[in-house]
Amino acid sequence: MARLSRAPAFGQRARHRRSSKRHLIAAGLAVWALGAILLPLSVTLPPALRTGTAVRRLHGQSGELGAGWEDKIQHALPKGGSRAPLAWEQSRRATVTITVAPGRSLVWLELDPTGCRDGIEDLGLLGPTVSEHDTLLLRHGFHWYSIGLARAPFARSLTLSAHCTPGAGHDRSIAPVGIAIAGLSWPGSS
Amino acid sequence: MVPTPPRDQGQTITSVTDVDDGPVLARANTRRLAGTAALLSLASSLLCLFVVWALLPPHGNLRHVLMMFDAVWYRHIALFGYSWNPHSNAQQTPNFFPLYPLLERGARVLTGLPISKIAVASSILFQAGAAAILALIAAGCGASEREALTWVTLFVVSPPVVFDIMGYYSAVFCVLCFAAIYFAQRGQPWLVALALGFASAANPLGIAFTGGFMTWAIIGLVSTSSFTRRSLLRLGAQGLVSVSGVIGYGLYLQVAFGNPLVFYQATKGWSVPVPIGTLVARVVTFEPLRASVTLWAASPYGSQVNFLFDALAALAIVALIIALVAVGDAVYNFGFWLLVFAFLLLQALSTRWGSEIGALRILVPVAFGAGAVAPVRRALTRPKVSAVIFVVFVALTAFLLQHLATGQWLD
Repeated sequence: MARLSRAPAFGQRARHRRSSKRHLIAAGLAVWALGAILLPLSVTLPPALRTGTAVRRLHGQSGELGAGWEDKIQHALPKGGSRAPLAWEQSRRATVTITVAPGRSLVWLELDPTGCRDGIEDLGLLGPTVSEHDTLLLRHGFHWYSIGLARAPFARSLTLSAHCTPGAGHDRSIAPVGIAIAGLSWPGSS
Repeated sequence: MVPTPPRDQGQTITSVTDVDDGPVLARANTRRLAGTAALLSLASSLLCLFVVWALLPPHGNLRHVLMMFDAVWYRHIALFGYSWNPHSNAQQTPNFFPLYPLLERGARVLTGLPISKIAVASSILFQAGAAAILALIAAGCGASEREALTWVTLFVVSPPVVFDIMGYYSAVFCVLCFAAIYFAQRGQPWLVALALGFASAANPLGIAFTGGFMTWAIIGLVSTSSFTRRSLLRLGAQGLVSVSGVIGYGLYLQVAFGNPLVFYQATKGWSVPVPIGTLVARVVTFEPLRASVTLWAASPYGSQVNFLFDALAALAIVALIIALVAVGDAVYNFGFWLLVFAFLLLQALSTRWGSEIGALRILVPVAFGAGAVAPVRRALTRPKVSAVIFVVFVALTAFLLQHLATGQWLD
């Protein structure tokens, strides 16, 4: 009787040992998988999320970008200390448009010239600017530029036409002459 | 020596005895079960087609959207055969394995129908066949009729179904994978090898399946102490049969282009190989999965969403593999080894690409075959759990169908 009563107990113990071993292996695999995925992600995800926020913001403004833009937002991860934009959209050609809603009198654009040697570029403005025809000198890198607009009760297009300044010249090895935009702001719009 | 039937899959359907769920399934009911599963799949596929049609933009073309992405390549191969330019770094026809375009071509000769109609109809029918076999696998693992049909329902609404209404090889591949699991369950290793042989002619992952098959068979031999010269010879022969598809493809490429590895050379052009040490390090640290998540977080639009879905699918597969290890004798589960080897090969390919690729449409169906074993399936087919999974799957599938209808990148 004693042997009979012990036999199932031995069986149970053996099963319990096998089960414990399986659980131990599974727990080891789970710890490895979670560690290998979550630890590196805890470092790489926060900057990626910051870039994602910038991409979303620009995506929200892309309805105001008219003809000539790539319709594709490019992005970069933040680098320590750098204030460079994390998301921007490139123009497909030298002339692009921006849609101006009715009643707006000022627009701020964060622009970067592309394709000109040293990045120096003349930006011809055509449309509802205060003087109708205006010119901006774009410096190398992304900078904010303000453009005064003539108020009107209807939507219009502001045309931006990029040319390399005579001293700068077009460097075809860099890129076609164009503009990159990283942000739009409409202060004081009604 | 035939490899020992896996302990959790070795029962025949007539001897199914599930412990706590529903009545025992009799052999007489298996046909009805398989038929119901196939009908569920057909209904799901037709509903998906209707959704895509309803979501088409004003000038959209249903035939066009169902033949996008890789379907274009398969159609081209079915119509014009293979071509190869050794100086090109672009994707080329030898990247795409021949079984599916051969079937398309054969059906075209027999019916005279255009390839696009054949492609969509065959995908839907193969998917229905896969659902029927999956129901039989679940029943063979001890599922009641309710459980088996719930499992099949989750399968036919899962996101990969989007590719099974298109001109993709996925449904054929799925049928062959499930057939292999079904034959393994019934202790028919030659039929397993044959199914995998065909699978190896449909996709490179068929070769990974052979790795899984061999591992499972060797474990069977070891566990029954049946290592004899004859059993090893038989196993070797079964291994050869299980890669016969890719061997046949290699022979064709040798004859046609003078190089049996053209399919690999063509891949090297657009997916740059990495050193083996780097590859292993990236696989071990789940780099493709993490890269997909980070990329999506940084730029949550366009194809990044698909990479995120693939990353989530890969994560679910990892969880399933761990669950299978924890709850049962995973080493005796043939589907488990198919899943593990397919996962590893796909991760190796993903490391070359830089993001997680194909996990959703290739691994999720395999996971249904592997996960049909009792403890996992029983947990996931409980009414409340399955309802949650159903809702999540329907939402994801609807999202992908909307993407498909509007011509956005999916693959």
